[in-house]
Amino acid sequence: MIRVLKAGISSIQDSGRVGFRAIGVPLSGVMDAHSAGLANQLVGNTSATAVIEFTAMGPTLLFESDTLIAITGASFGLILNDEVKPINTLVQVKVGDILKCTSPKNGWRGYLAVQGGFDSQVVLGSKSMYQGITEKGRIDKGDILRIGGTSEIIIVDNESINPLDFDSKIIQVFKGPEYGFLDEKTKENLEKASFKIHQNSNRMATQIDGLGEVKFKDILTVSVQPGTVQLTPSGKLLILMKDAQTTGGYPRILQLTNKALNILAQKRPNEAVTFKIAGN
Amino acid sequence: MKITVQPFGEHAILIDWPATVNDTVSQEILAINTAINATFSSELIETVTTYHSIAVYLKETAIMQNCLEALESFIKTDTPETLINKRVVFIPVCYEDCFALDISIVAEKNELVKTDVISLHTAPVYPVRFLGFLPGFPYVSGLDERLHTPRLKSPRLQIPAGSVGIGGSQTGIYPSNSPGGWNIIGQTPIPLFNITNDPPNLLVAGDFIKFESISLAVFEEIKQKIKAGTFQLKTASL
Repeated sequence: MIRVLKAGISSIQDSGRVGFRAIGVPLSGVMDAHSAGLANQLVGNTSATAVIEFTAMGPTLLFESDTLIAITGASFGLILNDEVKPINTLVQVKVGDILKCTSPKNGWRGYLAVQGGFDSQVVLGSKSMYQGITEKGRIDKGDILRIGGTSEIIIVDNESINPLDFDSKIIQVFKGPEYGFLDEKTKENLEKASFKIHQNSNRMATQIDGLGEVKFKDILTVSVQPGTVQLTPSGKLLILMKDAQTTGGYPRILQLTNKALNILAQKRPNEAVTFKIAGN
Repeated sequence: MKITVQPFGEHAILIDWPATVNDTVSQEILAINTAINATFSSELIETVTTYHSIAVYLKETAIMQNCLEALESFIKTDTPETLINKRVVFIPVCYEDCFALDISIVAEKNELVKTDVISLHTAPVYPVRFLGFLPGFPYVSGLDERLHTPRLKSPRLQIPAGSVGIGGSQTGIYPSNSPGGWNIIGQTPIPLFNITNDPPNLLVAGDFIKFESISLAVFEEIKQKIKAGTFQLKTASL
């Protein structure tokens, strides 16, 4: 068991709630699947196992059983009792140990995997927390997180680990279904300009200002998915993330690669990104 | 009719019909969607249909080029029969003032009295095209033109679950408490989405809905029955 002394901004996430998008239930799941997969790999879990995802602020946890954990993703400073521990490595914890996380110097989201996974509420086949679907939308101070539920353990050696490099400003994209709506000047701007991540970004969407007002025809509501870049009439770009709605009414001008979606999940507000269209 | 098949990112394919809202296209989409789910179950994880499109979400192991080619030839050769589902779900709605926050806006804008709004809203059998926006939210078409009303200038921060509204040329039901900019004309006591039900959604794409005007007393009675588990949903075949 793990007792949450401070929650930070944390939730339980796994590989997502697959199979219910046709009834309007968001996919959810880990924002940076690469880092979450690595955390699971280090402790010997399968890549789809539920982890704690934390954003900007990590939790403080009291361990009430001996276990193995790993933390990956953004460069959070880890302090186990009084000892500094590295990220991207297997860490042994004992009953009574307290783990603290300091703010990340680089990156935005961290992942904590525990050997055996988390034994938390499963709704529609997934443990991913989402307000209105699971009882809790996030982890709170005082919560007790039970360990277990995953039996298959395969520990790999530390030399084969491959952390995500999220330093690059470049976000790789494909042209979206409504890319053709854009005029030549906007198309050029999209690839040349440097865009700043807006403060108002969250698990639903990463917002970007900067194209200026754009004229295009209205579209009927269509399917959208994580990584879809919607263009609003005010020129704002909404890059849909894991908790996004399943359908939307704005033109889908770009679609991120899976890797780009992981990288974007690690970008901080005010960080700059540029788009690179695949094949160009 | 020209149907296009194209990649939608690394692991999804879009099958698009020309942009339109009509019964023929909707029924063709639902029939082909069922056939695709049956035929390509080992390649796909799920599909989402909208007015004029099917999004096919693929497993990471599926090979994009193979799936594109297979779906293209499937669309060309397969002409599935129209779906048999013609279920009409009766949705009781209380249009009384305590729920109908904006019914007078809808009435005034269209030079009607409130009772006209209710009779025009309860007259049609609305086809459910698909679900989206919020879990369990039905996109329906067929709102009488005489009820079309622009969205509120500033959206409300909280609309109670079950609220029935009109936004532009659309009508719909909020399945959960949420912010919203539609003109609210009533409320249904029936939950459209309840995670403890199996399945959690009341409606599916291809259903039809018919609104029925009820009094506040009947609204409360239905609420009690739902709570007690004795409520019987009224349905019929079209």
